[in-house]
Amino acid sequence: MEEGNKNEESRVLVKGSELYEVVQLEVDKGRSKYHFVDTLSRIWFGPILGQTINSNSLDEYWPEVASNSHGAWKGIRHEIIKIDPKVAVAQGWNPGDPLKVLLRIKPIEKKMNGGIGINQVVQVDSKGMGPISFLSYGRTNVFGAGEAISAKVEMYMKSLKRQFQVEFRKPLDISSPIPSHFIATLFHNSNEQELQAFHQNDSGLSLSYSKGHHTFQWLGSIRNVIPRSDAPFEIRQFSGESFKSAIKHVYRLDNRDDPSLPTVGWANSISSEIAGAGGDVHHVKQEAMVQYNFPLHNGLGTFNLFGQFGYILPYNGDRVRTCDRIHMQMVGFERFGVGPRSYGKPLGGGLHYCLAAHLTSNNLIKDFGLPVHGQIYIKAGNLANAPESSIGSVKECLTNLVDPTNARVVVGGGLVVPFQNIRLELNHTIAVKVAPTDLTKSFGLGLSLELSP
Amino acid sequence: QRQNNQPQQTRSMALNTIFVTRSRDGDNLPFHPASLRIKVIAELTGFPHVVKEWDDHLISPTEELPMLLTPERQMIGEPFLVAQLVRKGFDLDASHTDSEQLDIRMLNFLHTKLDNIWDYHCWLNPNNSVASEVERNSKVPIPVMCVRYLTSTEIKEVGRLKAMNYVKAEQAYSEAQELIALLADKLQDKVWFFGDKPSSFDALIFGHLYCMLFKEQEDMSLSVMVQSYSNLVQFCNRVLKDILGVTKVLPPTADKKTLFRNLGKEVSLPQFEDLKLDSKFSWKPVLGFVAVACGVTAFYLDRRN
Repeated sequence: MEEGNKNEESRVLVKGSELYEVVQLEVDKGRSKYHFVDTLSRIWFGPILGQTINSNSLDEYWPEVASNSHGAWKGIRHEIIKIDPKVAVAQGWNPGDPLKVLLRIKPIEKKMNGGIGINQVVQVDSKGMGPISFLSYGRTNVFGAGEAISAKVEMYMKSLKRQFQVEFRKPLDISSPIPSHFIATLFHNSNEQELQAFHQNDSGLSLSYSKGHHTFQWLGSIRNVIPRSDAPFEIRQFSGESFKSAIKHVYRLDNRDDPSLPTVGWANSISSEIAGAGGDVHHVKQEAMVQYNFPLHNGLGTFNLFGQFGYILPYNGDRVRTCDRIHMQMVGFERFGVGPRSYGKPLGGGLHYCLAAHLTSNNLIKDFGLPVHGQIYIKAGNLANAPESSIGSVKECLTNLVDPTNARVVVGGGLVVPFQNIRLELNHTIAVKVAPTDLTKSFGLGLSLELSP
Repeated sequence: QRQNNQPQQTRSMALNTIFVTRSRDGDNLPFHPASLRIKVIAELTGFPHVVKEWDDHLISPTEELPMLLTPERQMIGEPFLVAQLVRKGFDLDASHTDSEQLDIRMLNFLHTKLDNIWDYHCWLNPNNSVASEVERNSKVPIPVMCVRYLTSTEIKEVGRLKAMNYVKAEQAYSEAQELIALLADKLQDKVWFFGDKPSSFDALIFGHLYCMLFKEQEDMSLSVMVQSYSNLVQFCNRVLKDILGVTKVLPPTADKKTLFRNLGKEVSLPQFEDLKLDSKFSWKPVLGFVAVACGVTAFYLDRRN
């Protein structure tokens, strides 16, 4: 046992790899509020009390503790202080037993996060992949209970997309095993929709509450659609400003082993949105997705099934605006290549479905450094026009949607390379059945965060 | 009174839609000279169309209403509408002599002059500009109105000042007085400006005269100017009744402001007429400076801690 510095209370700081019995626990709350530290302490530090520990083992334990502090702490520092020998003896210590010690824990506050830089983006925009320059700044544990404030400015260099966002995040009910958060976001986005021939500015505020698999959100957004000179009438008629006030609920459950290359498990999500609580946009929008994965016999690969359905329905005499329409992305088609068009410009639709079946192999090339999987697939889907707020129009659009003669069907195969939670695909697709206005693409390189159509 | 200048070939029965600005009085007559002009021309030539009222000028490819949408979904915006109608064979000036047609084309410059005067009267006359802005935002949600106020007011005023070159009200209203006198002299006691047949010039002038006479605003200087020429008032009422089927009563002007009624006399102009951009205070740079100062202070304090 090494002796450290003696403090005024004759307690000795000790270090080492020997075993100690923790009989007292002290937590230095630092900048955090008492309630926040107390709740987290009880959950994570309580089990330590009365235990026999090894100082080095604590160093391995703290990162997990810090990761559950809602971003407030970046680490934990501890001190092991030997208690008064007389007190130790009075508590039943005998020579040869592990020393009875006081464990003092001090969370290391994470003060600032953020940065300046240029990133190669994974999330594609209308011009595809390209660099993003960003500037961000954030502070954690702002008011001492795990709150975080951050501001971010992003500029997509290839397209003219600009995003500015200020976010306030607060963890709620810290003691609950199911995490819950309140998030308020102020944003301003400027986006050039080049393929659709209009520019869109969005400014607004969103308030969301998430607990477990559920997220409830209110979104207030002022959208300004400015058509380009070559925009067709169907886009021009929805130009100008509109104020959308919408309440949204998202339920998402995912028990796949790996979203980018799932081999077992399933995932589903349902989102429902009602716009019209104030504002001049009135619609009901729902989207549902389900995905199943079955490992094949003898571990040869995986069979993946994917299904997606969505609709947007206006009410109160409103019509579905250009910026609210649904766009469907399918392998084998150009971006915005599926659905209604006018003078070559994609208009988007109001009802869509997509069904897909994949057969994914195991790693084909051993000792390559990166796993390379093969896949073959068949996909079918349709995107029908947006209905107006009348029963007849909805029936007509639904009939168009489910009509087999309007379905798009593609088959194909390719390679899949999962890389750091990103799915990189190189595919060759054959269009079996497409609409005359669709824009197909035989060879495609795709990036996504999860298996999608 | 309507002329039928249809071409010899079979007339298309497909529907054309003319988008005009929205009327406020429920009589389908918007206070927008260009929209009224095209309505009169379409009625006089028998052009098959339906009229649709619209709020946003951005629907037009030229960003100006009125706009024509053909059955083939082709869009033609102002100022190319009249030329498009002529190309389709609906030419109101076809029955006039060559020299009259030349005169009509030469006098078309009055459209720009009168347009600028009308814009000034609505948006830069301090007695009328607030009401015009309120009217523009009346059907818009409050958050959109706030964003418009924060982002576009200064830009609009800069644009209008530069386009019109009217730095002082005296310039705008003295020119208005001269033009109105010119029109009265041109019309005399005739039915139409160019004899006994209507022309596109009549439609053009009617659009402007209607707006000047009938729009109720705090300052009715233009209405008073036009009302002093009875032949112009009769011309306007005649077109309203015979072509558009509407009868309207002139709004009262006795209790309205007419700051520029007698420009020959000494008129004390309000001081805010001298709009200079560099003297206009804006909150935006102040808010921007405060935001940057807060950010820098927070960064410094964080580093210090």
